[in-house]
Amino acid sequence: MQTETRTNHDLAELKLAGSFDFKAYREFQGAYKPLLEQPGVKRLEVDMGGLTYMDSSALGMLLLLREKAEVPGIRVSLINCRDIVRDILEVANFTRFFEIR
Amino acid sequence: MAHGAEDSPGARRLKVLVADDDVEVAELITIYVEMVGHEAIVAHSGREAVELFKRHQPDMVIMDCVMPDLSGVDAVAHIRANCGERWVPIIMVSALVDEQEVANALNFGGDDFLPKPINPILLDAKLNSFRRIAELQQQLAVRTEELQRYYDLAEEEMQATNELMKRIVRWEALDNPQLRYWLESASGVSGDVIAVARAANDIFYIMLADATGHGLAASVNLIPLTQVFYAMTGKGFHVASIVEEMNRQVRAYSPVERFVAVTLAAIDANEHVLEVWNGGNPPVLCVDSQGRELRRFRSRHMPVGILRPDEFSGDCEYFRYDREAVLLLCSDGLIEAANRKDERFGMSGLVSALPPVVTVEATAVIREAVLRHVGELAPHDDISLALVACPLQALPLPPAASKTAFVEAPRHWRLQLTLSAPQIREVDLVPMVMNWAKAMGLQTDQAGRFFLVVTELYTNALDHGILGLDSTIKAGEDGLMSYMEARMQRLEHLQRGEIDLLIEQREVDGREQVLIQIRDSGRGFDYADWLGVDIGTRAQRSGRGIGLIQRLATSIDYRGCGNEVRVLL
Repeated sequence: MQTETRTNHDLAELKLAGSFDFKAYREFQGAYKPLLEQPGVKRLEVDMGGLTYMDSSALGMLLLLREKAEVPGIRVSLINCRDIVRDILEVANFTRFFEIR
Repeated sequence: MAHGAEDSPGARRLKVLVADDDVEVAELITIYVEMVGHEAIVAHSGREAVELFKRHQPDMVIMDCVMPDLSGVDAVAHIRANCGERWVPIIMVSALVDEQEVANALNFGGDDFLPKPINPILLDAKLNSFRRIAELQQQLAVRTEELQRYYDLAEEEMQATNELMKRIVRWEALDNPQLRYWLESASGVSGDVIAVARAANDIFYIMLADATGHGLAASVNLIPLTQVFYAMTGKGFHVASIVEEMNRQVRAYSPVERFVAVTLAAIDANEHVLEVWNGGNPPVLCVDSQGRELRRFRSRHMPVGILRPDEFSGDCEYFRYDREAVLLLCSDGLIEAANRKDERFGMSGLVSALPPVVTVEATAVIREAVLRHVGELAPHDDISLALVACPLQALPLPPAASKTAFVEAPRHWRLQLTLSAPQIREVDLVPMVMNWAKAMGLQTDQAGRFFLVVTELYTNALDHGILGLDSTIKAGEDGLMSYMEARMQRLEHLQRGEIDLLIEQREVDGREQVLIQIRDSGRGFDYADWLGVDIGTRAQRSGRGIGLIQRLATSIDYRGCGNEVRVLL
């Protein structure tokens, strides 16, 4: 999975592309960790638009991200969720934990 | 002179075998080798070179192409044969500069070529270069060994997981006419589990669970899940209580990113009611024998192991079926199974695969359809599928496993006790009685029924007989709370009262029979009236009333003024 990050004042953006599965662990964590540590960041948007595949371990990684973001009080939202990504998030009822667009 | 070996970081002193039949040349090369900081071993013939190589196992070889006894090419071949796992750089030297000769030397195992007279600067550079490569090779060898070790550990883990999965599920219970299932693992061990149990009140429970991830780390979460499942279904708990406990335990034992998608369904063949909780799995389908969809239970909850107990909801979806039906449960591995063109099997695929007449045997048909769809592609994720019959009448119990029947002789025992006020206040009688009864030899297939009946009878004797509570208080808003408060109050202040309990197991007409008799010192009640009412509301925790005892027992007899009851199982 490929990641791209960007910060704009209080908004941090993390763009994902490719396959979000258990192999993506290092890449994903490596990308969001510095974003969470940046002072002044209040929101983190994870752009799921470029994902071609997602499985339950990805859901687990999102839960971990949410837990870590709670510490600096950063709100995480998942944007550009389509098709398979939208399906898997809905079946797992993740709308409870994340703002999903 | 050229840089010495000491200049390079992490430099090591090499052992270099120098082979040349010309003594002076050999001497010269030796001087150069030692000057740049390495150790030289000298051979003056091909045969001697091979001998010394075997004996000293040098790190590098500098050898003349042309030697009288053994040709350079042959010597190289011999040396290579003696290298074993190591790669030893061999530098060929020769006075004759002929392309063919150089080519030969390299083709037959030599790694490089140096023309004579030896240029020491070049020699040093080549020694360093080869030393770097040799070190890389060494690192690679270490990595390979590590990898082999990890591979072995992984194999061991897979074995352990296999063993675990064999033990945590009651496989013999899956061999049941009410159900057919299919489990297909993506990689040796499946992280999906199917478990069934039938409670004393004829409720058939089925659970399909899909743990995140693979291997032991995933399967380990299934331990609390299955143990809670068997323990609580055995006692006839509601689906809500069971999933609540499962969530608590999975959360307690694993990190936030590990959770389990669970479908838990209870089929009450007597009341024709389906109770379903689906957290994270594909929709559960209820279809009739023509394959028409009667109800779809989609995932309304987060998978088990994520939410805190106070956030978790065990709320189920209920459906009353009015004709013979089949319940279909599956994990997302089945829905997501893709073919070469990356097309998912999908819910639509599942529905289309149903045969014209749907029974639990349709499982095999669906399996065929999925396998046809994926073709030769290996499944990406574990697949699990279960079809359960929703009958209009409880199916007869399968013959009890003969595990506990190791005693041929009929068991006859009797337990009699009297509790007075202090014991009534302090003692939690029912679990104690359960333990005693089991120790005395109560059959496990009777245990469920026995538990339910003893609980109900004791509660009645205590609440109504001794404490004088009126169950009509329970009705209405906050009724249950008021009832429980009143109960606690009266129990705390209880001064007088007695409960006699008699339990006897004996053999009657070749059958084991259990007698439960309770007498309380209360005023009794109009039992004729009470027996006529079927209290079926599920407002109470276990949702049971006298109707259940009537169903479970062979006979119920009230005596005296209604303060004595005799139940035969």
